[in-house]
Amino acid sequence: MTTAVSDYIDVGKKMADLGCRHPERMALLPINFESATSIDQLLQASETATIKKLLLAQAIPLDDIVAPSQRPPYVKNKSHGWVAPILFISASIYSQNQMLISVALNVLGNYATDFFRGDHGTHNVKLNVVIEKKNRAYKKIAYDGPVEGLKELPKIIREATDE
Amino acid sequence: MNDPVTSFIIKFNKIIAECEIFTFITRDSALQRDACRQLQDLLAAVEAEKKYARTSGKEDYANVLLGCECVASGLVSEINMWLLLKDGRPDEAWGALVDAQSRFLSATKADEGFAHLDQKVDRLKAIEQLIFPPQVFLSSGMIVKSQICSICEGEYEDCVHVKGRPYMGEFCTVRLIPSAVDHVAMVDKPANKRCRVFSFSDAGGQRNRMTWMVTAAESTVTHPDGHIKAEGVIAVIAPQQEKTPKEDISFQD
Repeated sequence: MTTAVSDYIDVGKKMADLGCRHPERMALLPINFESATSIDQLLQASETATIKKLLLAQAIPLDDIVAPSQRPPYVKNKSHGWVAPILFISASIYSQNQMLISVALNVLGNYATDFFRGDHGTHNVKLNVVIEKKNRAYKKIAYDGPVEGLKELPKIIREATDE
Repeated sequence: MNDPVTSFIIKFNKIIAECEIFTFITRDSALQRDACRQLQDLLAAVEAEKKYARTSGKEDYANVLLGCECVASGLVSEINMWLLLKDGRPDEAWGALVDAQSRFLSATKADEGFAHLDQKVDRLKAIEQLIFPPQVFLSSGMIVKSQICSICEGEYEDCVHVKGRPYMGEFCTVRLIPSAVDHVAMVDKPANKRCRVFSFSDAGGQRNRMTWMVTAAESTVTHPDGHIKAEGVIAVIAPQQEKTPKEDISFQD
């Protein structure tokens, strides 16, 4: 299991540059958000649609960064892996309701467990979380490990945000 | 004990137990074919019962029957795998194995009453590793412009169904409408084990990865020295799709 914390690009500026809406709550970011130079280049992880439904079903406040008509295409890798979108957490969600972060990560963990159900063996999940700090700086937490390890992420997110 | 639902399940379990006897290579082929016929009849009965469950609005029962369907069709595939191996058709036997694995895995997702079948999945995995040689799997990466839900036929991102979950006796699957193929890669764990290298060029022709036999290459295309020509499957087109040149080719997720 590896968890790497690093600085992330200015999400607000990038959103403005791409012509996207800056999320005020939580959002699922395209997998190439950092490298795309125009809105047409954005690509979503194919699991985005499922994860979005599951999060909304648990009343997780999600914002779309583009209008439905501008929805980016999906990248589907036909290997037996679980590729999640980037989970964006705004400063207001972090400061007002940290419980939502745990619920969201729990939803993702349960879905990954379901995804691999019946198939014994080692299954790693990869998840990137981008958190907005109060000062509009951004941190990325890259997790690569077993599903059970996701429950450690809220603590790591707190440490990265409060540092 | 006398209600029709319980009676049906008891009858189903009895037939499954009788047919499961034939999931070994040593069993007589004629008896194995008889078992497959019996299972096909059982599948027809399950389908009829599922229709009744649907029209009665009994979703839980319809989902149990979906699991029954997976179990019966999984057994057919498993027995077929042995028949095909005995008949000297290992490539087709591989397809039957993958189908059996997929069916039993699906059963565990149809209803929690089938959770014990993960042992069956493990057994089939052991068969894969002991009976068949290691395979080279392929994975294709696609850019997908649309994902269509199998339950409501709507755009998957906008509907309420969740991929892999059962709804009134049917699994929600997603039909992928690709706009481009991004890459093809060799992977250890493919999404579909049917996507694999069948043969590769070797002295005198194409060597089959399953039988290790070399057959004369039909192609007259020459390849530069050091290059290997491999033949295989990179993706499986979604079932029951009648394709016309005007339509998109779609893939099942």
